[in-house]
Amino acid sequence: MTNLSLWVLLLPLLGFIILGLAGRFMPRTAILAVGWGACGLAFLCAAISFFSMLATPAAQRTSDQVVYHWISAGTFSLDFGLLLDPLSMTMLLVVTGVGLLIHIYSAGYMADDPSFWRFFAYLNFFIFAMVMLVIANNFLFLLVGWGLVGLASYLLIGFWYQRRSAVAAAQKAFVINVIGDFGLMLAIFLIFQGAGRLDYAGVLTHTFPAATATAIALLLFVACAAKSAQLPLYMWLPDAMEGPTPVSALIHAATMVTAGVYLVARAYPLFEQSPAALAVVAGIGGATALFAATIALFQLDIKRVLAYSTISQLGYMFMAEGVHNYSAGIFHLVTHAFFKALLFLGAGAVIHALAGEQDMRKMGGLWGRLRVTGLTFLIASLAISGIIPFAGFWSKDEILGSVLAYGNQTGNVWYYILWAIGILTAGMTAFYMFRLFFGIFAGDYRGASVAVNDNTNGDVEEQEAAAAGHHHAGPVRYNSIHDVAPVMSIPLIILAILSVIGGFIGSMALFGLPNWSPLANFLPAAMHNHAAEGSLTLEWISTGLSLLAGVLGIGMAWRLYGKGFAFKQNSNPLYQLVFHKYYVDEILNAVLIIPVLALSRTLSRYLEGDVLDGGSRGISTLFRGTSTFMRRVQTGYMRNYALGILLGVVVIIVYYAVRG
Amino acid sequence: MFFLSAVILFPLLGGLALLFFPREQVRAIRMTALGLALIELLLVLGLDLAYLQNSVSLFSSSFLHESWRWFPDLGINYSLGMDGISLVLVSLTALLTAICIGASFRIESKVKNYMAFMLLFESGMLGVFLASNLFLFYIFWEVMLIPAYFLLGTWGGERRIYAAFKFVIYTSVGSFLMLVGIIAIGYYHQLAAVAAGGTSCGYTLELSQLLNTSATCHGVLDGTTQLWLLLAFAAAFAVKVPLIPFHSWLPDAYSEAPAPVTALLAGAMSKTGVYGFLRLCIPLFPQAIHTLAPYINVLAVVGILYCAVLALMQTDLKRLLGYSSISHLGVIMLGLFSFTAQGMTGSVLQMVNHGITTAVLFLIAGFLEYRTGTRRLQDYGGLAARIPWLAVMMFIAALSSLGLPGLNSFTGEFLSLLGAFRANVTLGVLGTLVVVPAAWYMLRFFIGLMWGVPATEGAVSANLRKGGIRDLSLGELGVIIPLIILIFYIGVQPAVLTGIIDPSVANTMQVLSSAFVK
Repeated sequence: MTNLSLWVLLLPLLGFIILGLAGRFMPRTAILAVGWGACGLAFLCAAISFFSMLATPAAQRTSDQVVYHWISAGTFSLDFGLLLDPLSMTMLLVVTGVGLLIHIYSAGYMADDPSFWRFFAYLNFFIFAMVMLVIANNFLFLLVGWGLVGLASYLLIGFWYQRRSAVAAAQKAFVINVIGDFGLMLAIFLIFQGAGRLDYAGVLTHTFPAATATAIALLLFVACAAKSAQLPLYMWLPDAMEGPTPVSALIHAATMVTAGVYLVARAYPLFEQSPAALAVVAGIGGATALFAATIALFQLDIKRVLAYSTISQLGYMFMAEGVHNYSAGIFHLVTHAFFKALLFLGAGAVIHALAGEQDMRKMGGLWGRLRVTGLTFLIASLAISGIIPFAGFWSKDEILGSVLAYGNQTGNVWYYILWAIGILTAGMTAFYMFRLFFGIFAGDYRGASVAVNDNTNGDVEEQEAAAAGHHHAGPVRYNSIHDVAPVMSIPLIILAILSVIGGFIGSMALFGLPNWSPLANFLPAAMHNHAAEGSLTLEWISTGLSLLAGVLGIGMAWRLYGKGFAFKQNSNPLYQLVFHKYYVDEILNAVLIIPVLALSRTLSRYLEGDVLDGGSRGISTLFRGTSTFMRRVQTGYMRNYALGILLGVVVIIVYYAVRG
Repeated sequence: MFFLSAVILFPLLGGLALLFFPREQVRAIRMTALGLALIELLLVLGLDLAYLQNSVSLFSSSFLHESWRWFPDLGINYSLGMDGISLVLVSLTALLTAICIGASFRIESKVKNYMAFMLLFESGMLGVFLASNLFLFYIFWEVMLIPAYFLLGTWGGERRIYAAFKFVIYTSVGSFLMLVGIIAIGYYHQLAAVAAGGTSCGYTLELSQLLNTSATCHGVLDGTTQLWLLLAFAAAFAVKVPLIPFHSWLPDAYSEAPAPVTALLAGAMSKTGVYGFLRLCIPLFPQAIHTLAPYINVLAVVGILYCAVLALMQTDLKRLLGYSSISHLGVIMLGLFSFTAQGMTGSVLQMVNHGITTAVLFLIAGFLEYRTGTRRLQDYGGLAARIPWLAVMMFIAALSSLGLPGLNSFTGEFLSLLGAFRANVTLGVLGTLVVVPAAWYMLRFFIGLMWGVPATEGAVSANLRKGGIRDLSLGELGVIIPLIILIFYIGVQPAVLTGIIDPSVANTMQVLSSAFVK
């Protein structure tokens, strides 16, 4: 098997180093040559490895190569190595493939940005970090990749670093992700304590005591929840939309946020050892899917709708993994990468055309001006809504089917509820997606005329600072709106094609329909699926109901917004609660951040200042006082000293006399 | 052979020679001082090579070991010895001294004395890392204090006198207790040895004799004696590290000293405290250390979290870095007192990493203060666009400090915390928790200076308007770059260091026998 995974890792790193050191002085074409070249060649290497893997018998598709010895201390010794198997292969293709399309798109989207070079340097760095994450052959280098993608995410969210909101969002994303790193580190400690090693080959074949296995699996899931924005660690992802839109598409929709899904699939033998942990995975997944979907229903910023939608879809993936169907989780990861990247890039095209406008209230009627964008956006919306035969249908159907089958197999009513949540969320997904679609493309253009209360910050200095970036620069007249250039529309079209056929082919590949021999059972063969097999009847019930939910959602959106979006204030407290995202940010601020900062200030002033510093001063004052007092004794007169000696002698004599 | 003596004495003699330069020849003094520090660095590199060629242990009679009779009746000899642990710390000290002297060219007053003190300071630290007689150790320990006091008290900021006094008093109290401990340990050891049957055993302060369990003149101190002596030694080391609550001198000293001196205090001198625990406290008092270790570990964990929380709201650049430094030293102590191979190797590795990273951070704080004349965080903001290279260097150091996987500090902290976790789950978890506030305060620090929009009032904005804030000069780049390269190199290839440290740790810890977890 030809294994070029080391090149897939190193080429983007090389691109980053070149652009990072010299990009500032390079012309745009050279920047693109390096940036696109690094990612494109990495994709090529991944593709060659993939076809070589397909030609290999299923049993020999795993290659574990050591690159070098990294560290040793006592019994702890670790090599850096690369593990290429169908799971990491799938991830490599998605990361470099979707990554390449977004590199191409960005050339158009970021064309006017003075920090063009920096953007491509960061993108290459991200690809490197993400490849590291999925290709490492041990938990420690997984953590390295885990940390580095967090850094890439931080740099790209804060790309326009003079915007206060972007800076705050970047910091929030990083710190919340460090909570995940914390969980991952503890899991690694436990794994080493239990198995004495950290490489997948050794750890994943090791049987841990039940309690340890549960602890490890749950700690790993803390990391997954932070990286993949699941409850309760999702808050950073909506704010991450402050980054340039191609970043949102690549990192915060298609690839990085799916790292948690990857990790559960990678470590599935550990999760298999702990039914309790898997139940948590399924439960958190379902709860997040529903929770985020409710918030998405009423958002007005088009990128935020998509962000909450991403959180919700990631919840589906965890739901699948929670019922042992790991390959279905990865399948949805792949189709979601196609259609969600497409949705974000489409949204980016809209924002680009409207000179930075992201508020749905100021859009509308763009179908007439943005044909390619509109059509591809429609395809992606149909895909995410789970309408047959688009990509999302196949993967979502697979997930819901296996949840229902698992409920049926175990007879546990909670899984029926989980399945019902899945169906309900599917309906809500279709509704908010088509509310978004109609809001952007249907009805009349509302941009030039309507003066709406701007809910984005209107700081003067901020606008000055952002003049360079894509920041709202005032309404654009309808007739001057143009569809995007080919450099941006070609990635849209490719992703649209994948959103149509990706699920169909993937479905064949995954579930081994006959006569598709090369792709048959590509993932499940590698992952020994433990998914429950449902009867055909159950599958039809699940499929039928999820399709029905999707159609109903679209129908409702059509009834309400088919003629154009109109925003109405609603004072219903429930609506207000959801509209304000359940006030989670406000609560978190009040119960955690403000108290910690207050504690820091108080400790600094009182404990450090008054007690410790004051204490040392107090001691020194005491000594000074004592010595001032003692100085008086030294009068310099002989008679005083003689008196002192006499008194001393008397005291001693009296002491011994009394003591006998 | 005189190799180790040469390494220790060269800076001292060079510093003395410097005093004969005419006062006005500032440039010549600077260049000579830098030259001396660089030659010293070459000597130490030679030492590194020699060590790697013939791996020696602490007391083996090799050419990397010296012993001259001095006051034999008092057990005082001029004895030097080294192992891998000394080696990496000596290398760190020589490197940081050269860099900090290179970064001190902006010192304008009494340049000659300044440079001489820097070199004397280096000699003191090197002596501490290489001494293998307790009295000699004590002498070097005090030699280290004098230049530090003058460097802080003469060239420091506005509150330098207060800071210097506080530093000296804290340190002296600890040193004095250690001196009492040193005198007493010779006495009690002699008593124990005689009691054990060695009739002609003399008073000794020679580490090789105190630790040689197979010698005829060896006595085992009873537990209570061990504990009292240990407390006397620990007093000196706990102040130097510092462990809370003995840290009150540090924020003042670190913020008032000139940046290159702070870099040296935080980067190298703080390691002498940890080294004392490792080299003396654990081997000399193997039973008592187990009594004290839980308390030290608790103090370490409290210090880790307490100082990380304090760092969140500091308003002074250098004070913030000072608290961050105490927090990181806590991780080092936690690793050391885990008594596991991972924790202790990680602890020594992290001493090197912390030295490198914290030196970069303090030097950069100094570069910024030089440009703006202020250390107040609120005055800063949005400088990345104006000084991109400085911002990049600072960002790399900040990432290293917050323990980003792939950079140097991660390797040491990971091992330390892994060891701590293996020894005690609760302490390990609490110690690891620091990654969250560490990321928070470090990013707040970086963002506060470099991102966002420039402050509209204060010293920085005034300087910005005058165009007075420039990017890194070539000289500044020259002193920073070697450390930045090491930040990456150790992160990618830590085995180079762990390969040196790990066997020496295992050797040193033989005294703990089964209590040491491999």
